[in-house]
Amino acid sequence: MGSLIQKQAFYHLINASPMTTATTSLDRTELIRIFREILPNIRASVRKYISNQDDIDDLLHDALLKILELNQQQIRNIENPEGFLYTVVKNLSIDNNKKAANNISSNNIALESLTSATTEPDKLLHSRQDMQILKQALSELPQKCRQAFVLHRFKNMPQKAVAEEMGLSLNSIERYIMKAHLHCLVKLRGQVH
Amino acid sequence: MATDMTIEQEAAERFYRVKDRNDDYKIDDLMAWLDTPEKIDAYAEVAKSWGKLNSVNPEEVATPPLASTSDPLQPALNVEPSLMSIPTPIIGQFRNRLLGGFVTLVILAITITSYIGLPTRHHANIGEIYRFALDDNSQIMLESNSQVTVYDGWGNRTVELISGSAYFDIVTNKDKPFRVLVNGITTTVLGTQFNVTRLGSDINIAVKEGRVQVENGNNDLVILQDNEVVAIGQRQMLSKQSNMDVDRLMEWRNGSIHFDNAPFEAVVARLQNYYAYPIQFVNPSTREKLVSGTFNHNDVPGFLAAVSELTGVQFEQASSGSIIIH
Repeated sequence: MGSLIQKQAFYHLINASPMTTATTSLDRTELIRIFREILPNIRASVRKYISNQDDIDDLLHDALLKILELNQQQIRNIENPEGFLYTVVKNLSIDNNKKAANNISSNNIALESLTSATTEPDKLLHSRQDMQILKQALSELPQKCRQAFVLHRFKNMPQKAVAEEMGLSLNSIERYIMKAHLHCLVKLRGQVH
Repeated sequence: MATDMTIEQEAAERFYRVKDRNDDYKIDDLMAWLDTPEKIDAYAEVAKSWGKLNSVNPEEVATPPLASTSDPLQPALNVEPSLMSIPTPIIGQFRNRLLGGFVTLVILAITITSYIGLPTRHHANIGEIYRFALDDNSQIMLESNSQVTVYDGWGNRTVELISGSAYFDIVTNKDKPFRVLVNGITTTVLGTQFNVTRLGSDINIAVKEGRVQVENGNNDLVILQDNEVVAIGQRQMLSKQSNMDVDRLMEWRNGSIHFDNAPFEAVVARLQNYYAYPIQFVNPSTREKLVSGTFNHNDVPGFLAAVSELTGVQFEQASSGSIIIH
């Protein structure tokens, strides 16, 4: 079911973009600027679907992540940026409500990479390579750093809870998580796809 | 944000803050930060790598159990046996006493330092807002060109505001009151959100939520509650005002400052925190003109141009960057 919703999200994202043969000069920075500008109005429009303020913020952040995953060509194909942004958020809201109705754990899809929904062989290969690199990167970390990261990232423990569990300060846990995450990022960057 | 952080570290920090909701950092704050292609790229990469971690089976990442948590005082206590084990055949008991006294002094010094906390200096450069947290997750934001010294020990939470403006969102701890020292004024709180601004000898303390006690060097004391402000001048008189729009006084956290019929001199003193070059008056009477308006996004020349249009006061920007107001 999780994978079906991922595909729906992907479908919504692509279909939110009015594809035309003509391209625009729109780039990612400009798209983000427009998103920032209309954020209050978008937030108001989401309230039709979601009432909880934290859930709205989560959804807007998910929308931002999806926008950041668009490549330059996809962005150039957007003729009406505002309309596109509203549609992305609206579709995510609808998905969110469906998910709530079906009682599906949000952890499975909230931050899922769109690329992981694909079944194309080369992308699956890259995905496996990424997995190996990440496993290797995590094994290279100092013990406490790895433990903090695993508890937060994979066991979904809030940083505060990790700090309590490990008997360390929240600042230390934040530093460990950042160190581990950026180590993974650097290792992934070294991989050429 | 701290200047010693890379853009990627900043992006990662903001990513966790939005996701983990450790503080009141919201998507709006993040969007305001995402104002350059470099920041956007860094954030995209951070988010993407986080997403890719979904492919890893956590069970395959070995995490052996941690050793027992270390006591912060343990290194000091460990010193004692090794020092005591120094052979003492010649000087005998005198040496033992000397060493015993020395160790006691070291332990005492470490205990006092741990109680008070070592001083840590934090500052925001011109044009930036710097945010940091104490060990208990109390949040402190510094306005552009502001500076504080923090003492965060196990029995003490004290911040000395050296210059500028700071906003505090303090976690309640009855056993460890939080104090802000500023030019002889002591503000004591248990848990609250408040703002302290220092411009020369003028101090302004505004409470958004909670209850704080403000005391001057003459033992005068006022209690401030929600939406109350105390203004303190050179003579350190405490002048309390109620039902104030304190959010306006704290707007600098979002990159803007609102001035409402403020003397031009005071306005310029505040703007100076956002501008690296001197801003000077030529005509003394101009200093007293009253100015209203909203200063946004570090644009000091832009703000002065708007003031000039409204009031007729002329200003010029020298090639060195300094600004002269006529």
